[in-house]
Amino acid sequence: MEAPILQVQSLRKYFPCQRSMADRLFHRRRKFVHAVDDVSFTINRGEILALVGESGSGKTTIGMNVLGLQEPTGGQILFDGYDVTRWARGDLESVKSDDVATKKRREQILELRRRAQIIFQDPYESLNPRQKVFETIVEPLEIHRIGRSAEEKRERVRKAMEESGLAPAEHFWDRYPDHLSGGQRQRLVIAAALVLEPELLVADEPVSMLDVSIRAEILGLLNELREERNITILYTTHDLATAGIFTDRMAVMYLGRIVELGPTQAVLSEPRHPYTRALVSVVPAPNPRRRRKQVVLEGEVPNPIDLPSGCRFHPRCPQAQDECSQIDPQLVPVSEDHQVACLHA
Amino acid sequence: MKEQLQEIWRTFRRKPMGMLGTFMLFSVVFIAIFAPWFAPYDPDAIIHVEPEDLLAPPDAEHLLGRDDAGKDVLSQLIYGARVSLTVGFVASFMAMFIGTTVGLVAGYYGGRIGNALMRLVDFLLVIPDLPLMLVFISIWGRGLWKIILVIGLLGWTTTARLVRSQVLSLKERQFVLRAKAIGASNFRTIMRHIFPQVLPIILAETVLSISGAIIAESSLSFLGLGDPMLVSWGMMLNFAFERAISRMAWWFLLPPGFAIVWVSVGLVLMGSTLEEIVNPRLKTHHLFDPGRMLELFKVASPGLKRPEVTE
Amino acid sequence: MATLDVRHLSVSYLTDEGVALNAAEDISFQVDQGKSLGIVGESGCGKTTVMLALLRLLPEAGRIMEGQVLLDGEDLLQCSEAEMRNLRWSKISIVFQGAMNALNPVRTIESQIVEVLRIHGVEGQSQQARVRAGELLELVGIPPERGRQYPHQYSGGMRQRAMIAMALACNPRVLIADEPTTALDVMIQAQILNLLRKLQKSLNLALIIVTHDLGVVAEICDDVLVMYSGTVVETGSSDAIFNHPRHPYTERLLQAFPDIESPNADLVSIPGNPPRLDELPPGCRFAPRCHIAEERCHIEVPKPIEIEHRHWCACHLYTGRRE
Repeated sequence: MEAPILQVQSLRKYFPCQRSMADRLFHRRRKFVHAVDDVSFTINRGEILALVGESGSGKTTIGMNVLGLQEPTGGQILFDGYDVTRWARGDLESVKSDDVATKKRREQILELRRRAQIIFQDPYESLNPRQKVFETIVEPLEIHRIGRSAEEKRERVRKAMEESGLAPAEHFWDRYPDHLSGGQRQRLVIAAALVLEPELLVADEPVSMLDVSIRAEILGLLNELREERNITILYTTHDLATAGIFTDRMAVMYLGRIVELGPTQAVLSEPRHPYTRALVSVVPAPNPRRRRKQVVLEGEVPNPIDLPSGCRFHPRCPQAQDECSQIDPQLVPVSEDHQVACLHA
Repeated sequence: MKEQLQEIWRTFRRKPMGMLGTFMLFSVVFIAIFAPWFAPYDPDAIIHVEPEDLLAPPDAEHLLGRDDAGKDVLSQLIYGARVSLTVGFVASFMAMFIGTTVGLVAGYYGGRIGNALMRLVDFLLVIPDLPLMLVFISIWGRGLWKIILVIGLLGWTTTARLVRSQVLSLKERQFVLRAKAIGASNFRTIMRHIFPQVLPIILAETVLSISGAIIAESSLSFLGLGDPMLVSWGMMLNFAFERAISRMAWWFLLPPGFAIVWVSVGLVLMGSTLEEIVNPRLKTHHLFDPGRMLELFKVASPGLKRPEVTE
Repeated sequence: MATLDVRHLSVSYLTDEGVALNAAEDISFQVDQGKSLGIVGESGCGKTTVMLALLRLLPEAGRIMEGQVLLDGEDLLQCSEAEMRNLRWSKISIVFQGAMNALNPVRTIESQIVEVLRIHGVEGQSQQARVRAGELLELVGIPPERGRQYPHQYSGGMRQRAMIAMALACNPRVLIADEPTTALDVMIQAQILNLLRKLQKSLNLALIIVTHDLGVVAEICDDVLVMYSGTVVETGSSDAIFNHPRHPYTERLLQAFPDIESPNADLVSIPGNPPRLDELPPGCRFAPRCHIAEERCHIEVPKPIEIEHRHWCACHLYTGRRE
């Protein structure tokens, strides 16, 4: 069996907090935001993994680290067997001849950037407002010197646009992003990512800022990409329902840790972690007749600087018991491919 | 980028104060370019003068009278525009170029380079401009290009600061991060993604700085440090003050000053309008709109603030 | 008599060139005391415009072309600005979209609520105003002591609660919440919706929720009004709209909504985009995107027809039945 295309091992990412004058004067120890705190998972080629969590869960940070856009504080990320952090620096140690590590620094970095792409949440912020549609999509080709003639480049751009549903291409080519709707802009971002034919795509909340009636299209598009091109997708979101539609596996995150990991349908239909159960119970259902028992947690996700002792979720957990404030549970399998981090799962 | 400029022009067209400023500036530019057609006399021509011609008051043949050498003031004024405007435009473009480059590099790279550049900016800002220019000219000597260089090399600091602060915030925007994610080099990121966003502001700032450059040149020439071979408005003021003031020859004193003010006001009107367009948060338009000014004097009543409607 | 009765409201925006763009056309609905209405539509459908029109807070370019807005029988559109100032907040109040981010960062939450109370003459003395502010905070689930904190010390959910407290300061009869849960995490969303539901009951409010999220509407609204491109396409009880929608747009909208309990259902989306305000089609505004549009739909604007008791639909599918 082929090795997983992405392996995240004990990933840690801490951000230093700003220190006030008083902090410095009294030599207080610097505090850190524990954005990601010991996260491990793998994704196989062609799989779609959902990283689900509320704000402060660390899901976006993981996406940034996976692509080498941030450097981890600890742990390791392997993309196609290579250490992403070193790859992003162009600093890989050569293992066999003729592999990517033998290339020069800039070429190494370019190869990583070509094979792993990202789509951001905000279709208004992630596009250069002064670049026309064509320019935005052709830019990656220019950077990576793909396409020998202007004609060939145009063809590739057209193909990418058609695949993302921005067709007829000529109709959109000369437009600026502010003449496109939110859904069209997101398609533009996808086309610009696709034009390089990446193997791994990090989709960071790609539909949360779009209208509900458009979300289905974009998600359907992502699913199609996986079917037709075997692209691996890491999909982060706070919306369990969208994750439920097209992802294979789901990892539920809370305060920088994965609390539950398993096949999406299993996690949604039989959640084992109290947090997952609460989340599933409050997802809005489009049917007023359905009276569900909602577990609405009190309070908010605590700040990731001063973490609760023991299990991070225990202050809000409806099933918390004494030992939960003492012991920090690890992810433990409860069935063949379903893991939970809870002492009482 | 062309569309961007067209867009700016379309909005600009509707601002009466800006258009007034444009008219003021371009009327002078036009006259300066076509000076030989407008000026009744050639200021370089050798003329034969009688004693009573010296500092002669205005009459039908010499609309602004004559200067202390008997030459026609109006013609000198018109040809003088060429010098003043040339120095103004070239020096401020030079300053804009240097300032933009410094601002882009300092803002994008930050770190030690950024700090070093900003310390240089601070250093130049602290030292008063005019005395420094005087020192340079005194050491270097007089000449048109020397003046342009001196003004240009000392006038880039405001632009640099402005550009740097813009770049600092642009750097954090998501589309810049995306550029990095697709593999864009630093140069490409700066030129393709950051610079186009800063360009409108630089444009507005440059227009405003041209007037500063013209005034700087006039000041230097007024103090006697201008190019001795060329007559600029500043030079005319210099001669006028030295020689005409005791004779109350207002026709020699006032026109160059007036011309400088005319061009400066025109540039400021244009520049402020541009600034308002590219940076709508700067609400200075009340200064140009009499209706709005009056409204400010009415007592503001408490009530709900109107939100922005996005639909 | 319904507390709020909106009749045939039409709003346009004037462009710089003087063209009137019709942003909302012939909007009619009623809200009773103690009931809640959800106004649902995609972005750009005009729902916020309608709300601003109700409160006479349209921007300079906005014009109310016709209609009546009857609040307890009194037409708000006929009131002078002075009268409106008295009515706003004390009779009809609104939590603006994104308002939680517009709190004054240099003043405490308590002082901002006190300011609202003072402006509207509810409490004269500052001591009483502070007490009242504390009561309001408690009402929305914020410990009164936290009133002395600043907005940046509050989380997103808490700021939204503070905005709701401010909107309730003068005991209004009608409360409008524009996208109250957008940009909030799903757990906080549930908390805010629970809060709104509770407040509506205990204060007997006429509640209007404006949103693009059908789930929100399904959770707490008794009645639903579906808007598309500035027009009302369907209106009825929540049960009717969700369980037997009549308008093709409503049907499609419901099919586009992911249901966590039937994840394998094919999600539908509606191809195309709503029409631009300066390119409105002559007939039904949804016709260009409608999967069952006929020739008539492109020519004639469908008027709302009451198909069942209190269930109205503006679609030519039903226009025929009348005749």
